Formats: sequence, C-alpha cells, structure tokens
Amino acid sequence: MRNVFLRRTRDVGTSMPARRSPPSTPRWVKVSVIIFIVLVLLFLILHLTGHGFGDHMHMAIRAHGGQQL
Amino acid sequence: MIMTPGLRKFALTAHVITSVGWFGAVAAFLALSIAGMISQDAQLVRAAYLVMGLTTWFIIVPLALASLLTGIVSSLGTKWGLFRYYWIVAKLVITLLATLILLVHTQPVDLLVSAAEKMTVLGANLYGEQLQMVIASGGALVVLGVITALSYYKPRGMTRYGWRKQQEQNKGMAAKDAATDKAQGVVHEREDNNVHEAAR
Repeated sequence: MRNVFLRRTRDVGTSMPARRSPPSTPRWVKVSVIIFIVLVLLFLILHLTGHGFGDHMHMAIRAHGGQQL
Repeated sequence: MIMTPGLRKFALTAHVITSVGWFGAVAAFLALSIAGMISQDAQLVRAAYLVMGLTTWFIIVPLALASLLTGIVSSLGTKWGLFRYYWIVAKLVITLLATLILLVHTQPVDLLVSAAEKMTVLGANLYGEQLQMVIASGGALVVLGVITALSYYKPRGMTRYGWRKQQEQNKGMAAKDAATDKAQGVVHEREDNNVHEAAR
C-alpha cells in the first residue's frame, strides 16, 4: 500500500508527456527561415548588381585620394 | 554540464549587461552617424566620426563578442542547451551573423575616421559610406531588438536534437525510478520480516 502511494506521487512529479515521434517545426521558425532567405538573396542581388552602399574593395584607395584603376 | 544556481545567475547577468550594452552603444552610434550625414557643422561631423571610431573598437566590438560568449556559456550551463530549442538556435545564428557583419563594417568606419582625421570637410565621395553607416546601425538595432524579444518571449519549439536528448533523459529517469522502487521494496520486505519476528 505504502509502495503504491510512493510510486504514484513520484510519477506525478517527474513524468513528462511521452511523444513517440519528433515534434514538428513550428510555424514561426518556417516563416523566419523564409524571411531570412529572402533577405540574403536581396543583399546578394544588391551587391552583385552594384547597388550596394559600400564599395569595400576600393575604399582604401579613395580614403587616400588615389584613383581607381 | 549544469552550472550551480549562483554561477548561472552570474552568467545570465553578464549576458544581459553585455547584450543591453551592445544595443545602447549601437543606438548611440546611429545618432552619431545621422549627425555625421546631415549636419552642416564641419566640426560636429568630424567629431561624430572620430567618436564613432572609438565607440566601434572599444565598446561595440568587445560587447558583441562578450554577448556571444556569455550567451553560449549561459545556454550550455543550463537545461536550455545550445541546440535544444529553436529560439536559442535562432538567437545564436542571428548573433553570429550580426557579429560577422559588424566586423566587416569596421572597414567603412575606419575609412570615415581616417577622412575625419585628415580633412577639415568630408568630401561628397564619402556619402555612400555615410549612408551605409546609418542603414547598418538602424538595421543592427532592429536585429538586436529581435534577439531581445526572442529571449523574453521564448517562442515554443523543440529541435529534433532536443527531443532526442529529452527522450534519453526520460529513459534515464525511468531506469533510476525503477532501481529506487526495487531498493525500497527490499527495505520494506525486511521491515515486514522484522515486525513478524518481533510479533513471535
């Protein structure tokens, strides 16, 4: 009798809902990944087409008053 | 390895201080970059870019690296882990990218600082870099706001790795419970035998 009571209280305290399959990816993660991919593509397109804000390759030349080749 | 409660609170405090400090420093950087771009006062513009250089190298970069490090320590030292929940993975990825982009953008900052040191009036050819500073720091504020929101809201979602770890822990706990039950059963059996012997 005492054993049964102990076992029950311990089960209530420690057990977690048992799941047989892995949890599915939440919607907020899927939406965030899509937004992230779009932003990366946008960034790459802007830089590759020359519409980016900075021209890191030739900055040092301009900083010292030189001319680009 | 799970940290002791005292150590865990210390690591979390360090993480909050460095992260909030990073946010505040970027906000100050944004104000300076806007002042540097729109002000007509040449002295103010020069001063703004010189301060931006100092802020970048002595406040923003160290705080970004410290925030990343304390975040990793805090997550690894608690039950949250580093790859168990999507919100922590998202925070890690965003912080890593933000730190990387920050380090890349130190180059235009250095360029503006160098120009401010040498010239009395900044040339129009630096307008691109000036605009870049405003957009980059504004974007950084939004990103840091998202990271902070993730920390407070902790959106649901466990990764497959986290689920596997939880299953392993549950199995381990079940085995431990079974062993404890068995040991208690033996003890109670002995107690019962002692009671019977005493009754005789």
